[in-house]
Amino acid sequence: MDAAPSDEALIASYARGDMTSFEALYRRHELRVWRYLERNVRNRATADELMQEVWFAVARHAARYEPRARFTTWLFTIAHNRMVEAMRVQRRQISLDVIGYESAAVHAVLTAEACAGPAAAAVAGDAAAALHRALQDLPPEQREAFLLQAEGELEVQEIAAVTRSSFETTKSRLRYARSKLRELLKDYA
Amino acid sequence: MNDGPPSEDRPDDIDALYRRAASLDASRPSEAVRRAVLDHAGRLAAERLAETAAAAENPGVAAGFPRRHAPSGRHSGRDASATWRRPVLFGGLAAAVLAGLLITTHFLGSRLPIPTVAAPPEPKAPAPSAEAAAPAERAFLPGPAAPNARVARQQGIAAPASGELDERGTPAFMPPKARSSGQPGDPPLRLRQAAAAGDVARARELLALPVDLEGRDVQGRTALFLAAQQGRTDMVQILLAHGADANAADAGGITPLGAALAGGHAKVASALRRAGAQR
Repeated sequence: MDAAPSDEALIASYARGDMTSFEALYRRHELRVWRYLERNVRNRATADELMQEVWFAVARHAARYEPRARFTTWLFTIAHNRMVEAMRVQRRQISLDVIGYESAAVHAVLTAEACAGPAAAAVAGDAAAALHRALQDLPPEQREAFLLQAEGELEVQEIAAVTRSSFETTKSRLRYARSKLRELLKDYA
Repeated sequence: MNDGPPSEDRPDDIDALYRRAASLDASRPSEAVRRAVLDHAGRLAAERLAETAAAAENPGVAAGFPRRHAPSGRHSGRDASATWRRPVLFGGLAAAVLAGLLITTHFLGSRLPIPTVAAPPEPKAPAPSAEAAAPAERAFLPGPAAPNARVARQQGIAAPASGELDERGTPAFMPPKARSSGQPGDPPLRLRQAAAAGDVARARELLALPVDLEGRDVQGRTALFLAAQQGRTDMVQILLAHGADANAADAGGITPLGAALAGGHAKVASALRRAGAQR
């Protein structure tokens, strides 16, 4: 039996007009991208909007993709950039006088709605709920680094490239994230 | 108190726990998002096919036009004006030269021989792909097409040296049967564009004329092949009813049935098989 075509082959095929390649690519990465977005922004509606933007961008720029990096690195770079942009816009819309200037505090205000909202309600099982809570307790940078590794299956240097951070900083964020998750989830391990 | 990062980067069960928990997580993107994404991507795919076909067959039309998509992927007013400014400038310049020559010969009478002037490059209308597409898709259609070299590059085909282009600008490395079969805007080209875009009304109009059903693009693809590749069942049936060759393979030896099966278009494959198509 033939091996499944690589992501890189699929995006190249789509760039030549083969829609079925795009569908295969979308099916393959839909949940990963969705979880990365939803668990970072913690708001289902915002995640839906971002999800659409990310895949629209993938479709629009498919012909420009060059396989110098893995497709998933490119995909999650787009997702990261869209998310950062959305957060920046939202941040501008909220009075900094009220919430202060700390990025973590800003993030907490932006995402407070979803903590007890549909995303949490949709989670089935104690472990899944505990994981959601534990992820919410992580600082945004650590959470994103962990999700890029867990959902995007990216290497440390790839995560560093996506988030425009140094290798050491990224490695440190991942260690902190894992350490904290281990502590928070010790009852479920 | 240790303020530094945890020293160990050992593999642990966090990943396994995460995967287990994620598998229980029922949250999904909404169906509306999925539909919107796939619809958008489908329109762009049809656009690319039409662009490829038009670009491959109308290199003359494409001359002087920049790529449709700016690097940012967004259209700016500057890009749009630049698209039209260049051919207008060339055309204007050529007209001025021609007028100057005519005036000169008029005043100098028969003392000077009348030079033979090649036809000036006229500003061309947008590629006919815009006319061939369904109204709903028109907004997404490409502007004027790009030269063959770019198409070949996009398709991973080694671009020929400039001296290897034939008189129509078709790369000489293409097999003869794969070369363009007509002039810009000719019925076979329009038929292929309509077939790729699934524009049944347009195809019927063209099929009412004496049109070559077996006209091929640079990749050797017929209208039937393009319709089959895109899963256009109605279009495939119409073309077959008009006598299109169900086994007309492309330059790579892929048949319409093979293209339909590769794309998972079962209905198209059935229609082709009923018409005697072989894989």
